Amino acid sequence: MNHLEINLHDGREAFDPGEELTGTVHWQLDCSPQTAELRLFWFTRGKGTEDAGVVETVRFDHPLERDTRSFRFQLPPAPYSFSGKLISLVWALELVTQSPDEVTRREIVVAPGRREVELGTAEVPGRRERWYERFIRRGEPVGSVTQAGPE
Amino acid sequence: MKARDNPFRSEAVERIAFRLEGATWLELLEQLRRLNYRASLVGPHGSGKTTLLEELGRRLAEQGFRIRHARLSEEHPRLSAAQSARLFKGLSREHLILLDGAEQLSWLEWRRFLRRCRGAGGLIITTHKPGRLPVLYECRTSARLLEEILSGICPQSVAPRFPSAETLFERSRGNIREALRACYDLCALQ
Repeated sequence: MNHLEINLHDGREAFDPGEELTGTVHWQLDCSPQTAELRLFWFTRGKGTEDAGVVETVRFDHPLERDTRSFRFQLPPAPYSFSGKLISLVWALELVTQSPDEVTRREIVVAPGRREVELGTAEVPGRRERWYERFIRRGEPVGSVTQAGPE
Repeated sequence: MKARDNPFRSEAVERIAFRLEGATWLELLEQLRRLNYRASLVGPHGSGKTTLLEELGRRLAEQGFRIRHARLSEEHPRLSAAQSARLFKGLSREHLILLDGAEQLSWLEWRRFLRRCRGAGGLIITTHKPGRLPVLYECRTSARLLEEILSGICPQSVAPRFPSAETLFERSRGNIREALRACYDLCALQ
């Protein structure tokens, strides 16, 4: 039975942007794969069309049927891992060998303070608030969209 | 609920397989062969035409056909020159063209498109109304179908707070895609 795994150094799953990410990958397959590679990438999840970007790929030369290799990535300064109600940006490592079926993925967090950025809710003022803005607090923009603080 | 945890996120919704009714895949593929691989999938907005077309494309690729996709929508009702060049370049009998959103083309554009597809082994389109190519399958929706889909992806923790499938179906006027987007919003509010 095929088995693939990605192990991160010290078992860490969260990193600061620009930090170095190291670890090992291990696979045990029915036969030697023609190719084996590890991808560092980000992708979006949410209500709309998904977006993704591969930042770096490491190819492992002459992969054996049962093998363990080490890897090292330099994380880029952006984008940050973030999550709101409409969209999340997720960083991940993906180990791919030969056929598309032989894939494993490990999600990580890349953000300042090693904490996923949580987006607040954009609140559109209601009729009463707009009336207040217009007649009581003159000079302030009417119908503006305000960004609430973190959830 | 965060977007990445939402059970109705686009990635999860796109994984929902098309449910054929009244025919098996084998029968559908046989009927397509009889139609000389020139056929249409007909149905209203959000009835699963695109999902069915993609599934059909996968199965035809397994049969050895080389599939070329084109997608038109209200936002992008025309193919760019580069897209057209890629789609029609070096067509042979082993190529099948799958056109999603054929209703976007005017009668004249449609005739021109047909002419350019002559070298291909087949053309399968999705459209809202019959008339352009023989109908291979008519996509229909129902509250029962929506209920089946919901039971497959809606977690038990949020299901009791949801309106019934009948209500959702009615509110979305039979558009399953819209109903699932509404479910996304309901989960996002949790």
